[in-house]
Amino acid sequence: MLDRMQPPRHPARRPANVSTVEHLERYRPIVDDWPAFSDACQRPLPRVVWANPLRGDIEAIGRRILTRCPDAVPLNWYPGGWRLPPKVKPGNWPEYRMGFVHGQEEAALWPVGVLDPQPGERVLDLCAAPGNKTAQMAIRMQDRGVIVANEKRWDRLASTRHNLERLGVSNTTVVCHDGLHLPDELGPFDRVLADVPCSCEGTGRKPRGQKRGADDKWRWTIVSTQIGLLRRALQLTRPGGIVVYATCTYAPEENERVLDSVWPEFAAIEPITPPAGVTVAPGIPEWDGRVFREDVRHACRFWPHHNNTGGFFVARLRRL
Amino acid sequence: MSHDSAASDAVAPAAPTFVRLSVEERAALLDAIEIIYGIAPDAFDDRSFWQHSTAETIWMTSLEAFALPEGLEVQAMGMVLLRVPGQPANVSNAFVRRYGQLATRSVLDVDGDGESAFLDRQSVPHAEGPDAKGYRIVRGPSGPLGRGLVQGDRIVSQVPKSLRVRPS
Repeated sequence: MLDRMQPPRHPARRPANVSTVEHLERYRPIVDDWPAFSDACQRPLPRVVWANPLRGDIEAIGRRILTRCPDAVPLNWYPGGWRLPPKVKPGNWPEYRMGFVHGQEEAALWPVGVLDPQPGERVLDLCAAPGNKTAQMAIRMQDRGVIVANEKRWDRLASTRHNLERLGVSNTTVVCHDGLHLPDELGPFDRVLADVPCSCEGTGRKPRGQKRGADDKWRWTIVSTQIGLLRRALQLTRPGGIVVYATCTYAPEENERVLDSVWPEFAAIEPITPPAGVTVAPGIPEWDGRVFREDVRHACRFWPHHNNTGGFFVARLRRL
Repeated sequence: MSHDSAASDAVAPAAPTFVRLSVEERAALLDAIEIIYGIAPDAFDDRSFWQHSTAETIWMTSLEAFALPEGLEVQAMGMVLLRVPGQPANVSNAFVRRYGQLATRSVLDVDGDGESAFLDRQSVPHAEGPDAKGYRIVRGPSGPLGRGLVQGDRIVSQVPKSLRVRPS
């Protein structure tokens, strides 16, 4: 009886799928509505699937999605996109296995829309795995032109190839190489997507997302890689071409700080017009005593409480 | 060590991983696909075909695809078309799902139950007689499902395990 009244020897462990915001306190000064942000971060993330027009008519696929999940709601800003309740697992649907639909986080749909690749163009995806954005690009390009999908980690190539093959994409050349050292002869490209590795702090709402903050030593290591990747992306782009820099973290060191490392004479950061009904925040002009270049304000920050998505950062640069 | 011996020790540049098929090779490939599956060659006017130099697999990609510079490890050049060289009937499942709707020969259409069974990697019956053999494009109400192989009076599903759909 006495034993039962004792406090537990080990405090109850927090379930792995519940996020907190303790590790995000450092971003309190740059969040416009901290209680709303904190509340959004602790809610599970809705799932999103999009219909694959390479497999069939997206309206017919939409009807099949509604049959599988009557609670699905169409995304008003993304044709063929559907938002599903968090507990639905579309990966088990026959439509998924047959390549009719693909699952992707809503905020992660943004970078390809901002890049806007056109049929017939030459496009580079610098960090391609697991191929979600590569497939999105191929569909926007109507499976024409060329996408070079590069991924440094060979163990992530299988998922990339699997996804592309399942979705019926065929204009993609998959390469295993260090993005920092891609040869000059590979370019020039019309457009480059630099969706670089990051601390993933914006993925905390996902079931297996990042629930902890990055330690500073690791963060500065990844920042140097991000700067190198962005510079390499710009070097491989033709003058006048577009580079989209994207991360799924809130850290200004990995976002505006990286953009600030590019000379204004080399590339300009262009404004991004969000579709109607979507709220974005501008890039922040300074952080930790460092003032960034003026046009980082043109970058877009996606906060979870604005559109009920994960956290994301997107910037569109034009090579001069 | 003299410069001459150093030059002789140098490693020869690696052969390109993927080589574009010549006009004749492309025509022969498309003719074979037309004979077997009845897909007209002009369906592939905007595609180019490449052969892996060692595995000899045939890959299909866009017309604008280009040979990548040496030193890059190319893993895939679009979509694999033939995994087994010299067997044009043995087209990949990815190809079947993308172009199977255009096929007019070597096709088996199944109903909803047959579709579920085929996607579950089970064999389905056919009515082509005892002399039937070879590969078939299997189509269901949802569209092309994958490649099947005739074995006796049944067609064995060759849908990859990773794309298997178990009945719910």
